[in-house]
Amino acid sequence: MADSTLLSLVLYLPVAGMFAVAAVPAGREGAVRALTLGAMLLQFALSLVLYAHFDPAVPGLQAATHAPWIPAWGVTYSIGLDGYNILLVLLTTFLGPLVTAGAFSAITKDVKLFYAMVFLIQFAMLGTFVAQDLFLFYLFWETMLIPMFLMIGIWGGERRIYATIKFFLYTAFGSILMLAAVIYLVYSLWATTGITSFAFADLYKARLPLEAQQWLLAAFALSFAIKVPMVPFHTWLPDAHVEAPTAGSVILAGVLLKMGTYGFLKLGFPLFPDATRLAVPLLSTLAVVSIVYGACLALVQEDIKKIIAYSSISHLGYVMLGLVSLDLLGIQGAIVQMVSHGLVAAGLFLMVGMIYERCHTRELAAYGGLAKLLPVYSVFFLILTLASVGLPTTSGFTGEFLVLMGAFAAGWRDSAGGSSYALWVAAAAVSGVVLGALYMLRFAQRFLFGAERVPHGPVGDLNLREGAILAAIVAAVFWLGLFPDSAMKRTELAAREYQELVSAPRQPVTKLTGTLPAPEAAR
Amino acid sequence: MNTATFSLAMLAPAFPEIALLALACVLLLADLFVSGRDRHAVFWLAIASLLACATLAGAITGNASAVTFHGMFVADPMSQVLKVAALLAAAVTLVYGRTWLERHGMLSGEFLSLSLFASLGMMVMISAHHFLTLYLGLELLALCLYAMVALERDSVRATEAAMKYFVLGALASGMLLYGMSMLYGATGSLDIARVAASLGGAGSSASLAAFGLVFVVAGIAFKLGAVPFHMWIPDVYQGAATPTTLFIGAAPKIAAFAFVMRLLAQALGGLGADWQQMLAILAVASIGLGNVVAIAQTNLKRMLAYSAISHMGFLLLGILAGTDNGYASAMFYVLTYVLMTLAAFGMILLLARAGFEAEELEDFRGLNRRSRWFAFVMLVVAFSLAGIPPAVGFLAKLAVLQAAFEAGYGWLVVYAVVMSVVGAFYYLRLVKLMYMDEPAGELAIGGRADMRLLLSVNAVAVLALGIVPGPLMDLCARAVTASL
Amino acid sequence: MSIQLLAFYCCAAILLLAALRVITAGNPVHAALWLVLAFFTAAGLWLLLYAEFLAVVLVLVYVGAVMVLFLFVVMMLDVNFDKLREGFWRHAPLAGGIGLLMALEMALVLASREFGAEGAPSPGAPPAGYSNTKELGRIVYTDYVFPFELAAVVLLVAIVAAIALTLRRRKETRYQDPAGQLAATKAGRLRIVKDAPAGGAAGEGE
Repeated sequence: MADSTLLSLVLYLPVAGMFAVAAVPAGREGAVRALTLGAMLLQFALSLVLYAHFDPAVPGLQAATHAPWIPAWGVTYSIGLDGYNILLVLLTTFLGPLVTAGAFSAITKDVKLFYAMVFLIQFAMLGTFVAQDLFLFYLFWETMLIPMFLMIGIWGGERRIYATIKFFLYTAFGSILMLAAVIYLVYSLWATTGITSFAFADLYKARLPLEAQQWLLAAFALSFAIKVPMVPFHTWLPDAHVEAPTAGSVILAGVLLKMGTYGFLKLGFPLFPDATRLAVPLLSTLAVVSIVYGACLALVQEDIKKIIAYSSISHLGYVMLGLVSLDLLGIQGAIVQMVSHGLVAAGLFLMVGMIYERCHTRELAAYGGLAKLLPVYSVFFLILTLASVGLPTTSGFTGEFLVLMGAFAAGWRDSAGGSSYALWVAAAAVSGVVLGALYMLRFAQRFLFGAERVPHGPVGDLNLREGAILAAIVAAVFWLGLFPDSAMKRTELAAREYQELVSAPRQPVTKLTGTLPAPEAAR
Repeated sequence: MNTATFSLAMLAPAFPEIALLALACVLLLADLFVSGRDRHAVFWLAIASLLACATLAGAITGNASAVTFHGMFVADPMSQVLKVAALLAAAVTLVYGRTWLERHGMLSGEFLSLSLFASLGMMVMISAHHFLTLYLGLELLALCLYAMVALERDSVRATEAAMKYFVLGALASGMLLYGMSMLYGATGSLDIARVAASLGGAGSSASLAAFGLVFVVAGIAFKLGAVPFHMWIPDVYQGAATPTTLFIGAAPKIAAFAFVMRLLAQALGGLGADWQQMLAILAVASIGLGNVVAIAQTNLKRMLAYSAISHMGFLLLGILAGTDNGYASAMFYVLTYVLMTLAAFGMILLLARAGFEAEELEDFRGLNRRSRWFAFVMLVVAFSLAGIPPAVGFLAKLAVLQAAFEAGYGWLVVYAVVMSVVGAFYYLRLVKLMYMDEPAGELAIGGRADMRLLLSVNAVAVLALGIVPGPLMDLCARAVTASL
Repeated sequence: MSIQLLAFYCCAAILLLAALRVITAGNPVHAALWLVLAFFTAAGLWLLLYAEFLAVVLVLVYVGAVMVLFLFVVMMLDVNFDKLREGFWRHAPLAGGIGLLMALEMALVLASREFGAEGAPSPGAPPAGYSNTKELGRIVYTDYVFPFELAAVVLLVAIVAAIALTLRRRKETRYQDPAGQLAATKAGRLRIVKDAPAGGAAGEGE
């Protein structure tokens, strides 16, 4: 089977799954669960094949499909894999079966609708990653909101309505401004080159004056920064995480937040390179503020879900820092950090979900000494904690280390040019590592050690299903920590391309005079 | 001009109108001879009439414009598309409203024949090539609508709504007529092509024409329901019987679009710089007020009324661009809007039962528990109205915004997208009620099979058009380019 | 100043005054009478434009038929017009302000030269033997046949609507059904039952 067919299969399998789930007669919830898990596993297996077939030496798209879609607007249906998205696609399909299996016991209300929503969200996320046309990207990007809105709102905790509406309005507000920017961007591409197109490859060629670039970057960045989320656009995240069901939190932390950083990587920065370079001090400052502020907040939380939620803000700060370092190692580190955070945060949320199902509380103070009571659980928890802290041999180390290397490289590069600001930023980012260790170890210490107590005890240790889920995540964490080469090899060309795109000036060569075709003539 | 010559060729372009008039009269007579039990035969006759005329209208012309009746009437590709759409929308309205009407004893020959005459009025407006025809079509439509609102005699609210509708509608007609007479004074003609030709010429008076234009635009805004001429919309939507509301809210919007196109784009294209500014003000006010006030509503019909106001603002965005692209996207917008409105009111009619109107937002509470599929239908419609992909409402909004942007209204685009997020809030509340709250009772959903099927098809179309919009967009673009 | 111009200004002034009184008169009958005056002066304006047929029709139809009918309705229905006008003075300042603004704007526009007599010169007297009525009759059934037919449809709709709105059975009103009464027979009304000796009560008739 050709790779492009395979990719389409991976992408549309969830849609088929959604219809299949809808067709299952009411009351057969076991069948729904088995069907979803089967489809998700199949999807993961297929995407592994795609990953294996992915040729790291070939620049640009692989397994691509292009077809005209809305000719009047120059919109094409074009999807494909490249170094930017290959790891994220794999991450998404990897987490799919884990989310499904993790929700087997937690979700008992409206099971059919729930798994239909899981399928829909999986479809939208994959679509966002593989889309190579801005229109298609936007469509998937927005489609994602609907299932997430329902998931938090229907299966969430007590304040779920507040949380889900806040989530929806925040993200919708961000993305709608992006829509206005998209219209402007496509129009100016047409006005300067005569091409009406939404394709990424064409949009990279648009030459815009600096002022326009700055406005457009601001609009795109607002949308992506809300999704990441970067301080000060983060306030929806703790609410959404805390109120979402476990599966929702896992999807949110595991994949959805990466949409924001992926957006910056694939669109925000490369589309507007001149504005980006000017904004680097601001962006890196915000990134470091996110790292430190998120860590500080995580340090004082008493709700275990909130600790992980704030740690997400901190960890994604590293990703942003790596992206704006414009250093090859930093960029690759950012990509690895995205995947690493996806794995670790997803694992931690799953573990919180497992303990919540047993004890029905998320108060940190209610727990203690779980190491004795639930030894298997505690081992997994400790591994994921250490991965979150960034211990060598785990994926967290690879990501954070490379990002910091990149940040310092950028710092030295700038200080050679006479400005030491970037160096200070890098130094401040290191403090995040220390703070990260502090809050995660505090969490683990109060959670796993000390006087033994659990609410509603006695509790049983992990069952086979839960053990298998966590084992898979831990295996992936170690794989990325010990053998990052396989993954980094595949992202290297993309990282280089990103670096080149952002580093090269792309303002109009001339002041739009006779050399360029006039808009009327072009049309 | 000396002798009256009527040939078949002259009448041919107007066959659909002639057929509808004949069929409406047949229905009026046939109704006298059926007893109460056989009302459904009359109902199906009405449906068949509408479908037959839609077929006729769809089949009749090629790609050229045929002007007939001494320049009174034009059949062009745009009118062809719009007529088919309006007739189908009217037919769907009747199918949705049938159970309700029957329950309230309103499934009478009067209601049905008034619907047919109203549809005739729409067709006349769509095909008008002369201010006089335009006005008569409008009055024919409006008169039928006033009567249809008032037909629910036992309801005080409906009577009040009819009164308001009538008085404000008459005022709007007066304004239109006044504006048209000024335009006649400025150009010396009521013929759309001749008005357009003489506007730029030496014989016309620019300030007189601009003076008339103000009144024409005000009249148009009244008919569309654009702020600040929107006062009648919420009361009429809420007060009228739901099938009547649906009838007012759906098909006539298509005719109103044609009306605006004929008047502003075709006849007064030369004054574009003037009316574009006026429409921009109307659009800003409509989008803002419609979306903000809708948040405070608890009655779904009233909420949809304010939503209609804001949607008309978006429609104006496409028209004020003043380009073929803008007109085509406005046409796409109005067609998809009608599709969504049909489904939204269709849901209200589906949920209504004896002694229960299902027009409060609260009545949709826990709908997902009662019927998964119809909750999904309403979800699709709500998200489409809010402009969230992948439903077609998003594409429609994008189309008009992009057209307005290209015409240089960047600030308007930013304003409109921000307001549409505000608007998303009240649709979200509806979705929240349906999915996240418990139902008051686990009543099953009733409704005839034909209605349920049509409603499902309607919702699927809203979704499918959002994914495959190409054909309809091309159709609109071709129709507009060939007709202007 | 020619005699025509004098007549025009007279008619126009009276027309405006009458129209104003229609909406300000307290008594509905007075308002209707003011409207009659407005119609008369409007007919006068038409005469000045050589549109004698329209002038006559206006007087015959509107004054002779429509207004008379309207007066009947006003007298028969006993509408409390004072109640309808309740909010008038409360909203008067705002409405007056807006009206004034609009009047000012209109005056500004109208002050331009194009609205003067030169901008719209009189078409002049028609040639001898020209009959306004004849011309009108000719084009109504040829050039304007489409709008003419449409107007007929509008009237048909008005009939349908008027009948639909007025011809109905009120639930609370009792009606006589003469046909039913005449068709009544003894068998349908009277039931004779045998007097049961034990019960002692007579059978109930219906």
